Amino acid sequence: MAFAPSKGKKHRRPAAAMPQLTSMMDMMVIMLLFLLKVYSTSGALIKPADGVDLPSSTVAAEPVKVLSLLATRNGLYEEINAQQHRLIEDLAALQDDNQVELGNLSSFLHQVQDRNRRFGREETRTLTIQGDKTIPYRWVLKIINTCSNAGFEKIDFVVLKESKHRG
Amino acid sequence: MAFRPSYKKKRQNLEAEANLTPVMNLICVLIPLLLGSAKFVDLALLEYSPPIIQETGAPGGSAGDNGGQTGGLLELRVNVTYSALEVSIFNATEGENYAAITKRADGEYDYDALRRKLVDVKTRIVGQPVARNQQLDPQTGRLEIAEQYRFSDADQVRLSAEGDIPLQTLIRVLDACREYRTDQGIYKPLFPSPALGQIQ
Repeated sequence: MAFAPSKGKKHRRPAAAMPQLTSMMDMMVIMLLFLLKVYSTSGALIKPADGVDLPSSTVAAEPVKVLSLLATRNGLYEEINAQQHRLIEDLAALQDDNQVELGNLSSFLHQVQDRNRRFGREETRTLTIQGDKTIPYRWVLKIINTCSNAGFEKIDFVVLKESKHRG
Repeated sequence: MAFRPSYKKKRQNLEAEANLTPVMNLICVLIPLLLGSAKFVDLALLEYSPPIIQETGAPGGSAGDNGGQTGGLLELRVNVTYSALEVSIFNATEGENYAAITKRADGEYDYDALRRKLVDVKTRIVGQPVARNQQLDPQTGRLEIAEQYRFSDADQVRLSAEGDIPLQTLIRVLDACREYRTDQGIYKPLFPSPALGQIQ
């Protein structure tokens, strides 16, 4: 025969299971403070492209979203978005020292200018280059020459910002 | 005789617990919002405008040619070779207007020495501005004070490098040429208009 249940247990009300929120709140507040610290009103207008190791500099100019080229060790690309790139110039053209101007890049830039004019867009004569920090100077010079000859007046390099006060 | 203690005082104190759920809801909304606008990689733009360079005659000219006259050319050049950073003014290839800053013992270029050399050129050769004019900036549409120096190319530096010099070195040299920090901790422009070209 079963024992009769104790009187104490019989009258005890089942307590509502409440999750312990205090520790979670602590964690959330820390996260909130960290995110507020790195908060930016302009947001990330340019994202570093995959496969490009950007050089670092002490400049402070904020990046703007304009026509973007990627100069990597494998060639020159048009940046469609952070993951998608379209090849403009291959390695052979960049390494050819007899070529002072890049033909495919020149025609691509003229196409861009024509397209902007056709659609009545404001003609921007600025472009940005996300260049890998190891690419040689002669490639940089070729790209700049070609862009300059195609009518681009401002050619900006995307860099990783580092502190001026270092060292 | 003392009063009898009130029955109300015997009431058990219930532990008052704050209702954190609305605060948690707010934080749960704020965190994804802030995550979306956070910049974990801080990018910047190194602006470069290919300038129109004023050329003079053959190299090898001296400071005395046009150095002391208003509107003369300073012709500051920085060449990055595989072994050194070469700084020259007035197209000099030797003498007091030419300096070669060799690499440090660790194999790195000495950017601090380059900056010191350029500060010396700026303070000793270029000197103080001879006039200050107000002019309208066509890009911003604002009136800005333009300083005029003895040399019409007093803010320009012609930068060239050997073909295989990596982009990072070029950026470091551009950083060194752009501005310097005074003893008072103020950043002042040095030669902020670079012109990239072939090594000569």
